[in-house]
Amino acid sequence: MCRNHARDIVDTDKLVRDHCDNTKSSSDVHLHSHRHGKVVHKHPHYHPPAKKHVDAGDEKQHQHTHAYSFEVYSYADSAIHRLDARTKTVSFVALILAIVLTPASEVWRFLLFMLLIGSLYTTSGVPLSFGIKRSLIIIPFVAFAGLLLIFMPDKPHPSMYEFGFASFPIKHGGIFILFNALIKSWLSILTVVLLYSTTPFPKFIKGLEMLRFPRPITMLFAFMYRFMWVLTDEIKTMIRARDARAFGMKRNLQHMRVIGQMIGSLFIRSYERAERIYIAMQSRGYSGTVNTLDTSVLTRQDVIFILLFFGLLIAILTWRF
Amino acid sequence: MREIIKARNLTYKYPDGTEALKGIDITIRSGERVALLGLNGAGKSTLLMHLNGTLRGEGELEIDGLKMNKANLNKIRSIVGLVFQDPDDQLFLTTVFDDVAFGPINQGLDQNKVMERVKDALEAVDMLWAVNKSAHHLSFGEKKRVAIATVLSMKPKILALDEPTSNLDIKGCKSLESLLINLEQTIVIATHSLDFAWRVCDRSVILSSGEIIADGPTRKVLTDEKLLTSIDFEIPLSALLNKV
Amino acid sequence: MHIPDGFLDTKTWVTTAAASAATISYTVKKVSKEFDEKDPPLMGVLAAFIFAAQMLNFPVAGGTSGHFVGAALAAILLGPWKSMLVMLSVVGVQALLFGDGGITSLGANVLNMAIIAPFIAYWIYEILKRFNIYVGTFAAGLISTVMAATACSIELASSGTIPFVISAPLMTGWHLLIGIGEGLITSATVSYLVKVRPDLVRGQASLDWRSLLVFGGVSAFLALFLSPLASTFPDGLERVAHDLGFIKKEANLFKALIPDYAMPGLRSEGLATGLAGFIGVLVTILIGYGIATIAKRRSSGRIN
Repeated sequence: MCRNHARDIVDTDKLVRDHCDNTKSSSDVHLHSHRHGKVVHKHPHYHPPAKKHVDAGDEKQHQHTHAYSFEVYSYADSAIHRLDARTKTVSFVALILAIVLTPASEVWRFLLFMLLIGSLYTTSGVPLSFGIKRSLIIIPFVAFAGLLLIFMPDKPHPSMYEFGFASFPIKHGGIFILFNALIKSWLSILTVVLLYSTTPFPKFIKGLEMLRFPRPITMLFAFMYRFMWVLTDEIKTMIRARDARAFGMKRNLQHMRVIGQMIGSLFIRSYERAERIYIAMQSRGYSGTVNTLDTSVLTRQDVIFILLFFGLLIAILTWRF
Repeated sequence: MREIIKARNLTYKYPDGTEALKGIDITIRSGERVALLGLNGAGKSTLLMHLNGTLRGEGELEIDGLKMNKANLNKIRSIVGLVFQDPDDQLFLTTVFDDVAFGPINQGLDQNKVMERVKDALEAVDMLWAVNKSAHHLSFGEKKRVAIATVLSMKPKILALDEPTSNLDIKGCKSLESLLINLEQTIVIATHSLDFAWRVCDRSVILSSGEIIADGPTRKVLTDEKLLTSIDFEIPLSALLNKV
Repeated sequence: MHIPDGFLDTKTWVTTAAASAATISYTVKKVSKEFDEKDPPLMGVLAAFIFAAQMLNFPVAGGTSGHFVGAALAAILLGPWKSMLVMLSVVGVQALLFGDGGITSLGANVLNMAIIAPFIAYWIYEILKRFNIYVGTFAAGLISTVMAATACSIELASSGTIPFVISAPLMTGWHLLIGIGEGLITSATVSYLVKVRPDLVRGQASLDWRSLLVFGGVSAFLALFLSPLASTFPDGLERVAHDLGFIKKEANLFKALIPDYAMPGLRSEGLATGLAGFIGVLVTILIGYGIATIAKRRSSGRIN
């Protein structure tokens, strides 16, 4: 049955994990109520951990849909989700580095990277379609680079496209440059999506802190993340209010002035909110540093994953036919 | 019962010159549940903010025997837990756990003690299930409860709440009511809701333009028709139903 | 303007990452020294504010629209150092949480939008506000946007992804239009704040000379590393641009149109031109400051 974990920081006992609902990862805090003999009860907003594929439709009923459109899978559960934030950050950044440093002519390596990324998506339960949808953000830049093709002469490139046992000459240098940019940016963004879809941002920030990222910056990230959605809501309300009254408003200068007033007003509200937060912080004993407990510990799974992952990366990078 | 809040001739002027409190005299005993009532601008929030030293006015103020001064400020802030009106001002860290742990950590407690405090506080407000959630994923009522937990975890002797029922739906109000009734702390609530005051607080203090114009048992104050109509109040519905 | 991974070659993304990291750690130390307890929540909330403000679109030339960036506003309201950290937070979260901008290219994006933009905005505002505050805010918004875009073009050109002669006119031209919107909005915002909460608009605080030094240092560092290392790093992309000689060929076409750009047959020249532009801005700022100071002393005490 459930042990009292008030003393334990991290629960690595699989038995307890199976029996107690509130388990998501080894870094989660486990506080179980035993006084009344009840297990942590379910709540409409509660997300049961067993599901592999979190249905995005569930989230639509929640009030805060905007936050969820990006974080829809971040709080789900899978072997990948349960890894420590540091493990994932270090591994996936290394993966991006490996991708970017690979010469574009060695096409087969990118195929291997794609396989690796694909298997990570499958294991984590995050749909690849979600990753692809999020990756469309690079389109403007790719289109911009594509302009090159118009100006590129048909001069072949001295290297060869290498697909393992076959290789083909590069006939168009411009397409080659475009391919280089496209494949690297696309695979990298798929990796980034995987990172934030398997790691709640607060945990990610904590991970950075434990990796010795400068404290002022992680504190800044934390506060920003916390209030991003609140302020976005406020400005959306303002936009709605403006649109309700601005029928056929003349564009340009008048429009700019209204935007300026909205931004100014949001600034003042933000500033005053920050002052109130400061008072609330002082009321709870704040004296300059924001201290939070480090509740994450690296587990066996983390170590195994890192070894396996880096092994794979090195293999992919050095494979020669 | 000992005197836990003692104010003598407490006066406060805002930087722009507005006199918010004009010579407040009030004594609150340990265990009392006091409602601070009054119209907007009467001075309720201002008075509350004096209790934990956020605002410092002229006159005497003693909290649990400690004089309000710079040296005692930290101790006083462990004794008086102030819950602000907007929970988004109170939940400023990334997870519920971090927010509720913030107070105890600042009190210098060790890791195990902090975990215990967080567990107890969240249990008291029935929000233990949200311990690892981010504040922006919670509904308004849930945020309000967590905000109270962030203060309960410091084990204060006095709980001061500023408009706890504002924007709260009926369900939220009811659960807040039962929560406050079951707490052992001395409670001071600034509220617009006379009904809430009737149901939760045994003593009611009415402020008007910075002065106390009534102070007595809730049963008496909130049924005094003459007094209430003179300040544009009404007898709360709960009182009328009770009487009948 | 958030460059994805893969668009910059190794030497470019490494150099810009190093330059950004160095500048940011200096900025962090500086801000920590003048630490105010209120800073963490204040800067965090303002970073969230900039993020939210970026949701506001405005029309730019016909059917397209641009969005507010906010680096200039941040610099005007917070000063050079804090605004850099605030913008760093915005750019960082955009990359990590939205994939807007790559990880290896984070250094370049931070350099453009969180270092160059606020810095230039700060200095232009500080100087021009002595003449007229709204000329100052407008110019700060416009020029900082254009310079950030130019820096972006330089980085892409240095990588061989997009030659300078193509990216510069397109990027700079487009951001000229966006910059006008940015300048107008920044002015409108400051005008509103001056009316409603003038205490929040930074007063005539003493000019931060050290920021000029830092910026000069960054420019010098980039010039030093990017130009001569043009062919040192093994990178397939470099060979492409070089071997193809497309740039040389196109130079004939474009030289007529843009005679002032150095012939980008050698990328390092194009780079040197761009970097010279930054030094030029620095020099102009210094000259402008000198003139403004003299003008101020001559005028009958009409400040701001």
